[in-house]
Amino acid sequence: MKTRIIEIAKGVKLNYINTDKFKTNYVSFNFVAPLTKKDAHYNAMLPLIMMRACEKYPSQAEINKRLQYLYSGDIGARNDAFGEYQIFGMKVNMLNNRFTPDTDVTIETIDLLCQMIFKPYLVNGVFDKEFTNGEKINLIDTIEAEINNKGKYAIKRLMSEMCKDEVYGISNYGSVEDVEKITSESLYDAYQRALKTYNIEIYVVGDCDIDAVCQKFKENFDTIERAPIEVERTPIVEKATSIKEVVDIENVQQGKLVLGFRTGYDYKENKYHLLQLFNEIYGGSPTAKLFMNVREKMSLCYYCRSMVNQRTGIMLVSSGVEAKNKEIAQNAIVEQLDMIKNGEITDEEFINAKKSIKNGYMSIYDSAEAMETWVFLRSLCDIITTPKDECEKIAKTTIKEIEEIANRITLDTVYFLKGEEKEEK
Amino acid sequence: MSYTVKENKMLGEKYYTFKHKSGLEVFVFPKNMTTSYAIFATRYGAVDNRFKLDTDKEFTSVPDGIAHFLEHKMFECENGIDAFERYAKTGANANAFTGNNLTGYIFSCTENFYESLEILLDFVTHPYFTEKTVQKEQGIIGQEIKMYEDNPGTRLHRELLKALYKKNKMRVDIAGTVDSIAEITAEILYKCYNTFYNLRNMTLAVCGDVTPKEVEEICDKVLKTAENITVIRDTEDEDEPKEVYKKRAVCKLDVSKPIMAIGVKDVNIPKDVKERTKKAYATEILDEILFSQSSDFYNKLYSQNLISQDLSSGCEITKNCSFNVISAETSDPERVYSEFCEYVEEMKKKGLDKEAFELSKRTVYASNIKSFDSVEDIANNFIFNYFDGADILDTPEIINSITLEYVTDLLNDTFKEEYYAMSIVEPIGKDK
Repeated sequence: MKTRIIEIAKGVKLNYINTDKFKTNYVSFNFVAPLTKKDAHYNAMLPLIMMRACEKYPSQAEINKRLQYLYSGDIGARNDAFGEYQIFGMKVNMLNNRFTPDTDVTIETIDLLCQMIFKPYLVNGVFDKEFTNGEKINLIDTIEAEINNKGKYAIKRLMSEMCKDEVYGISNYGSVEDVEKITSESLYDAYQRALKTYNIEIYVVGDCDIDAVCQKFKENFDTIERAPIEVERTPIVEKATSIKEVVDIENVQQGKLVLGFRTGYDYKENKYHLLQLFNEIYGGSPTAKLFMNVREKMSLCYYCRSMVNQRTGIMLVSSGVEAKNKEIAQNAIVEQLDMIKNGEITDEEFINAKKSIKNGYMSIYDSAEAMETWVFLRSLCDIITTPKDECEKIAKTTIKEIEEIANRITLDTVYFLKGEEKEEK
Repeated sequence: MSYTVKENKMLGEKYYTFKHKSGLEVFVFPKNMTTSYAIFATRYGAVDNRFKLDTDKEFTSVPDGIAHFLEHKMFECENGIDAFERYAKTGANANAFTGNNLTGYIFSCTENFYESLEILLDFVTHPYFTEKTVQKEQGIIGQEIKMYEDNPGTRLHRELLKALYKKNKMRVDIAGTVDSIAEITAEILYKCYNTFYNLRNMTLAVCGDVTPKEVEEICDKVLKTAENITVIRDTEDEDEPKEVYKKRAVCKLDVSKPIMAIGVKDVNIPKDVKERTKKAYATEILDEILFSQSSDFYNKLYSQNLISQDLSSGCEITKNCSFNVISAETSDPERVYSEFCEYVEEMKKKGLDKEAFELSKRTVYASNIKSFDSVEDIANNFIFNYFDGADILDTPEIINSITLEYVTDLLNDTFKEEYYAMSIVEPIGKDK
């Protein structure tokens, strides 16, 4: 998974991962912005307004017809929070030219992408009012619809409560009130700010004429004066001092329990493999302690899993349980963690977890998007490594090291999304 | 043994196939990927709730949700070590799923493929249930059912099927209900198992860095010759009326905005499999012409903010059912419905645009080719198609053969008001 890095402009890098195993090429164009309450909603709006219309294709229908002509490269908006970063932009997956003898799909699709990013549809020098209003309504819908997926919603609620004083608690969509204040003018300012001051990472995964692709992007940056800003780091909270409890009541059949832990892990340690291996043993797979005990032995829930974030050092455990079982489930989840802290990991569990991680890591090579995400997120943590390298580190890891990392973990916040009280039978 | 080879040169894909002496059919797709994937599937799903052997007098009716329940229970083994624990030793990532017409057991791995394949074939051919383990599962599946009841997308689709069909067993909820699964016993599970998990009723498809010879060796090692039995499924659902059963299905959930799905029912299912496949892809092209982001309909609704970003469409056309679904999130489902009816009639009068057809065909062609980039998609799509009689390697040519005239006929024949039903998930009023 060699990545060739080509500088396109100041603070603009193109990362090319060359592989011929796919029938498609994957391209993503990403602004890497600081995640702030002030700008998150603007950054969330930008991909939407760019995809709505551009100078050459001044309506969504025209953009889409062009895409269909180009064998429907599916262009999608991106807007992710990753620690202190908000990563937003667009990604597209297109057919390799060998299946489209009549069209150079690669260059033409990238050209369309550039039209949308660099040549937006403007009226009197700012975004069109009607389009801006339309996309505002859409973004508000998206924010309001977050509650439709109860599991994700519960995680988001936990993060906002647990990280009230950290940037990690900021929503990458912004709030409804913030979005309502956006105007065509202020959105255009945000657009200029993005083009001029945010770092930009372009990823190309597949097999194509990369020089021509670079040339296409370079042309577009010619007239832009870039002054990229650096994203400030948030100090890592090493330990929780007390346990916060938060309960929301909604009309649901099944409660959602989310526990937020501090691992104290700092990505500068460059030992993410330890955290991942710990997570695998604890709650990352169907043979993990959480699954085997809280689900299988205690029959309390359909899912109970843990996940770790390499950038924030936060671990979440999420589970769907009935209100009456909440305390039992919570205690069981903590108890399983205590076991790892006491080194109660069997050799079998340990070897199995290693195999399972290896399987996950190696399968990254089979997905263009997974390869991109692997390289991208790690590069934001100043880490250059391949899945193969990480497998070797995992192979050498000892139970003692896992025990040590587990002992750094403290419970910070417990969030429960509870159904409305019904009379118990 | 010699293997039959089928290849599609344009795609650059091929498979080897053989009938194992045990009675099992096997398909092997060699693919240069790091991951290898296997699916071991039986032609048995949620709809098979009444059946008998040809030697039986009476049909047996079983509780709804039993195929799914059985899928869960298959992972347990007599020695107390469940299949997940066995896979853990090989590092494979395993799972299973139950559909309306099939149950599939799957795994993917980046090493030890044949060891994992051995586990797969072994545990699916060795059932072990007791009353105690059945009871435990009732708790877990009860939670799974509740999770789906809260899921707006699942509910929307389910209620739509119940509105479209009066008799067709597509009405049955795959996981059953808390009450129906309470009736399940170890004895009924064995009965279903012995009826449907016969190797002659099953297919194995693998894709990845694998060879037919080695796959066959694992089959030799694990599989015993299957008994020759004839299963008769109750087909009382076949005389399904043309018209929809109910025009509306409404349920209330905790959603921010209503979501709606319009279903278009079609009882004219081509018996010939190539015709059926053609109809399915032509329907996709038609949906793309009528409802994609290039369409007038989408752009009208979108610019009036009547719908949020997506207007999605999808169809299912198999031996057993044929319907087309258009869904959206909207503040006003009834208005979208009447706009929909009007628009379709107008399109019938106006006729379909040649350019829109060509562009939509490109889209459907491309999305089909893209599905060959994943070992999992290849094997799963293969099984879904094969159980319906089709072959994924024939698909690109079938798509190419579709003409504007064919798609126009489809529009005129299938889009009629009496075939439409609408399912709506409405927000629960917060103030009560």
